[in-house]
Amino acid sequence: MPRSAVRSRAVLAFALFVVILYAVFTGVTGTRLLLLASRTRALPETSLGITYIVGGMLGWAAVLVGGGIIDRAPEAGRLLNAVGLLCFSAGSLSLGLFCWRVFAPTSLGARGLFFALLLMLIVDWVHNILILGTPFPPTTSFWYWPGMVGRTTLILWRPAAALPYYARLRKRLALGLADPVATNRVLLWGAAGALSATSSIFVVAVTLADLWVTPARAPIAITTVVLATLDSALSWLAFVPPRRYIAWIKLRSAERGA
Amino acid sequence: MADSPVFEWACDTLERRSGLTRIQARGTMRIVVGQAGLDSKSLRVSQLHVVATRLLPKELRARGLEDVDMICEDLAQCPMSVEHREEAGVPSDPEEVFKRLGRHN
Repeated sequence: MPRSAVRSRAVLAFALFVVILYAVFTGVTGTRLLLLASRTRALPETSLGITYIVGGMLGWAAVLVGGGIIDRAPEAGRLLNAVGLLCFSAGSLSLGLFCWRVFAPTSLGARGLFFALLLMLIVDWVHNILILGTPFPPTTSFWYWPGMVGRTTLILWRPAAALPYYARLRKRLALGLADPVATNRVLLWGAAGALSATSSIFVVAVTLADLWVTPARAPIAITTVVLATLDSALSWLAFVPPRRYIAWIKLRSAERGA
Repeated sequence: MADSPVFEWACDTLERRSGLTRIQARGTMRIVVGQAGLDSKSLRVSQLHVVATRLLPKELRARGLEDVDMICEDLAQCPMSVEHREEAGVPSDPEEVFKRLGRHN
């Protein structure tokens, strides 16, 4: 077998392994949050669980399968693309709802931003799916921008809300006024959000530079998938942490306080 | 959103006990609350106790005030009834939400 073919197979196997890791981490985290939501009926766990399951898992699965079968089964492919875009937008909006209601529930600016993005993504879905017939229009089209701007803004909201709040929690922690596990959870979730935002901006830059149709597409895809998987792993560590990890966080905090 | 009743109580007490003007007293309280990573809109009695004993003395001494220890002790004695004046329906602190969202033990 030629060396290039062996290399291609190795890259494909690595990508597949990383995608499976992503699906496991995201699925476990989202399921854990939705199970909690079924008991508490509270908005934060419901919206975050929907973000991971609907936006993180179903959206990707529908778009990947839809794109793969569209030549052989155009109707089914288009339907899956429509479902995929709906899942992406619903998942992103669910994340925005969490950020607004948890970090700035009384802010008129946050409320206005959320409803503006909601309107933008509804218009984006209706136009692109029902009129244009494609979930992701080319970058030369005006209709590339509303969905991209809406979803990227919602993804950026997460680290923009969580990381400054973590800085405040650190000050509280030094005075014994914050819980070390919750403080670490905010850090992990915010850092994961920063990775997710980096990945989104990277994808937008690559798409605008038209690099998906060049030989660079393989390393670009791997980079994107690795960033998404790191996000999902940190989210898993935040919301479904092993008991040893929690014990370590508590011990470290106690040592620092002593 | 208005400042919490505990924050208002602390500002009034500081103004009365220190001789600072209303604006000076509120500004000083905002500085120490911010140094602690807290929010004047959701300040609680237990948090004021820590702020008054750990951070406020240094700030008041830096302003050349006398009887700093007495003033801070008064502030640390904020009655729990002040907190209970707080209106119902005040949103949870994000820390409380994150505490609930994952395993804790």
